[in-house]
Amino acid sequence: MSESIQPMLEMRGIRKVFPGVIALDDVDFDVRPGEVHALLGENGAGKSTLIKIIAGVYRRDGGSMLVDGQDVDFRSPADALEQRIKVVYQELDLVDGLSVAENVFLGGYPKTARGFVDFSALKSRTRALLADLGLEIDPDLPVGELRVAEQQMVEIARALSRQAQLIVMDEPTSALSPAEVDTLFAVIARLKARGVAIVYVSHKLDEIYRIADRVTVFRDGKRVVTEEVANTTPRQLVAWMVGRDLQDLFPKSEAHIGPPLLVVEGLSGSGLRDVSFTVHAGEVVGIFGLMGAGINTLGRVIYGAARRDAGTVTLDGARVRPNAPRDAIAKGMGLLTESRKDDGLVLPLSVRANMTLAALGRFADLTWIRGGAETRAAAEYVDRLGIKTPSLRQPIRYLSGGNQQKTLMARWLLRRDSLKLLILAEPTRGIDVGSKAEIYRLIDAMAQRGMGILFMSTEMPEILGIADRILVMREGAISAEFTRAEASQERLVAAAATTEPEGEATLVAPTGASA
Amino acid sequence: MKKTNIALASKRTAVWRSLLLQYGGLLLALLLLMVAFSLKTDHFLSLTTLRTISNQIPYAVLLAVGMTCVMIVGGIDLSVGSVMFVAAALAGKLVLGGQPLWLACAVILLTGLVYGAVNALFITRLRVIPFIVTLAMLSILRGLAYTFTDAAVQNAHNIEAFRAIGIGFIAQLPVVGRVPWPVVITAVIFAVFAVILTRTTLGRYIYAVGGNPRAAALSGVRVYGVKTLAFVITAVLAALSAFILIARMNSGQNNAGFGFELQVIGAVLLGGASLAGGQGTLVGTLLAVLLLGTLNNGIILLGINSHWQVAVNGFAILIAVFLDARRRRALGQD
Repeated sequence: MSESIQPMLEMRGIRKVFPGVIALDDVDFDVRPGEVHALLGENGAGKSTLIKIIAGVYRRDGGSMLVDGQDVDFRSPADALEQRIKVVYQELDLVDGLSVAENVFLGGYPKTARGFVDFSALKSRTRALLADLGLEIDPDLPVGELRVAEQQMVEIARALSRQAQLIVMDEPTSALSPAEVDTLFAVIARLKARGVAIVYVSHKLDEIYRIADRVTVFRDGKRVVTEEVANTTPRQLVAWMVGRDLQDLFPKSEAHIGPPLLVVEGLSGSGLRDVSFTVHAGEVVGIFGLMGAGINTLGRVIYGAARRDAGTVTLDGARVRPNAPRDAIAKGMGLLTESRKDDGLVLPLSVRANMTLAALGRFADLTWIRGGAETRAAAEYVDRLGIKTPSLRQPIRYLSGGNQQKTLMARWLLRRDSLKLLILAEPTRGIDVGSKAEIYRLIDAMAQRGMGILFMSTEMPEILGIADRILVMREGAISAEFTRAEASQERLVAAAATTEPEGEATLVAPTGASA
Repeated sequence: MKKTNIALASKRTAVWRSLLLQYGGLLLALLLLMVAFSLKTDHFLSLTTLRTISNQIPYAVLLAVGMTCVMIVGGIDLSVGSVMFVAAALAGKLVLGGQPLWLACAVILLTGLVYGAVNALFITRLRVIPFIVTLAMLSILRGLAYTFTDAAVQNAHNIEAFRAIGIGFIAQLPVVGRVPWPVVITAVIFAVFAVILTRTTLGRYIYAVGGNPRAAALSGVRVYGVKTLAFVITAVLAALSAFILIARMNSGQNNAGFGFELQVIGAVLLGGASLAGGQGTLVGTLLAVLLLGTLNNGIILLGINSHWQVAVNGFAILIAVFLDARRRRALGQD
């Protein structure tokens, strides 16, 4: 029935090879005008590669690509724009210092008769574009002062200013509050109505059911299936993505709570306000809060990676010095930050070197690294954690997000002799379902061995799924505490919500001032 | 368990393949140049050429070893040429003043040490970017040394100990002939640092700090310490190369080390280091130094205007930066 509609974009037999990896293998994909086509797949399945080929960032190594039935070959993002294709990435490419209007029309300003920029036309046209999307954003405001959600809208308006007929959105909701997600979906509905084709990349199944018409699932660089969303079930989607049935996403064993391990008292600094709590040996403590509530900052301050002004941190009876990650490590802490790329991965180095970075002393006599011992230990953890890599020497940048994250967890697990407490800040952010489940399983296993786990997340299901106890944070302070049995989505939301209107929590989590 | 075996078994071949990928281009270029020069000139493949190159290469290699460390750690040191100059001037003064050679040597190395520490202090504690700090130092040091020496050439004629190090040789080998001291010293230092970079925790930390200083810090690496060490190493090696240079020249030249920094940076970049840090190897650096040295030598042998040498180094930097940019684009990390 809908076969007769000419796709806006059609890709046939697309192939892309990177050193050591076939990123895309004979992939077919198409998207029609006025359709939202969701792309689903684990990290490393090939979604981002496909997007980048559509965007003109990568060139395909094989296959053909048609826009409105015409053969095209993009050599650069400019070529894609020429065909009115625009990609809105997670990391938005806006110029912070320029105004909204200047950003929207960047690269094609309206001119006056004399050839100067026509600022009044610029402003009114921007306002009109935003109004079309049902938005009210001041065209004069510098983009840097907008919230992420608003910046995203500016990026979408920018696409419309170029008469985009295809907009690709790469995990657009990963940094949005629920209310902002609603706004985004309203905008998407308007775009659909205008006949714009939309490719929507997301890990979140509920979103796909809310807005997508069709869904294509990728696995290991191949297209598994393309199907009308209405004809699928979430369970099916997950099975297609992972390649097997995922029975239990949250494995949770009976907790054996031991004596107090981490005692935090009166912690202040970096936006925290008088935070006190305890983590026991063998316990998984979840910290929940909305974006900006300071959950990740809490982990950094405890670890010494962000400034502590007052309060004490005691681990297994020993005081941990403020602002000194080395001391925290020596006393038995490990930290996985929420920003893998910024302060976790050493991108140019190999999987092995990344994995052993914090435990290198274990494999060294004085300073001499015993290569064999290091390799054996790294190989053991590649095995144990199921890290997918062609070799230990593979630069970590080539691994998918999930495998990178597992490597970083191994970095701390390799310190098993001294590791007592692991702080995990949003360890499953941007990670596929399969890897998520494996990370939950790891967390459970570590707690079973008597380690304490402090687990920060902005996603309720996983907090509810794996934590023995949940602390809720709001504006840098702890606002509620629930046992596993007491906790529910409603209670968490109520405790986390600010007294101000939805989504106005502007407390910016300062990133660690170390280095 | 199976996978572990695979990981271990595939290691050997993987090592060779990655070596070839990494250095194949440089090696090929070096061989082609040698063949071309020996076809064009009668003397290229002679022992004299070999000796000429082996006389010129040591300073470049010493500087490049340090510069490689600094660039892997994510820095750059524009002041190595000036450090050489200061060290040379100081040594000349001391030796002419009748001080023993060992004292001059010690003073020179100490100068390098202190100087590298000062550089590092600005870079780590005050967080000034290395480019600016060392650019300032380049002028300051050279200016100071000019003042201090009245811009005169200091000849230290006929000081036996000096000559022994500069143009003496350690052994008379068959075929190759004399093995000069500078070559031996350089070879030893090269080997030591090659081992440090690839086989020790310090070397690993140097790469880690260059690749991502924040990640290294959170993993418990002493980031400031590692950076400081890299800058100190560079300055000390620069001072040492100055010592060898004046020993050979038997004088403290007032233009010693002039423009060396660019040649060396060009070579290190060509050898595979990246301005972004975290990358580079001493083998790559050595091949690049040899390549540029051969090229410069060929230019002389071919009777081409020797000022081309200066331009050649500029081209080398451009080519290196171009290759680096292309590689990074291919990796999608623009």
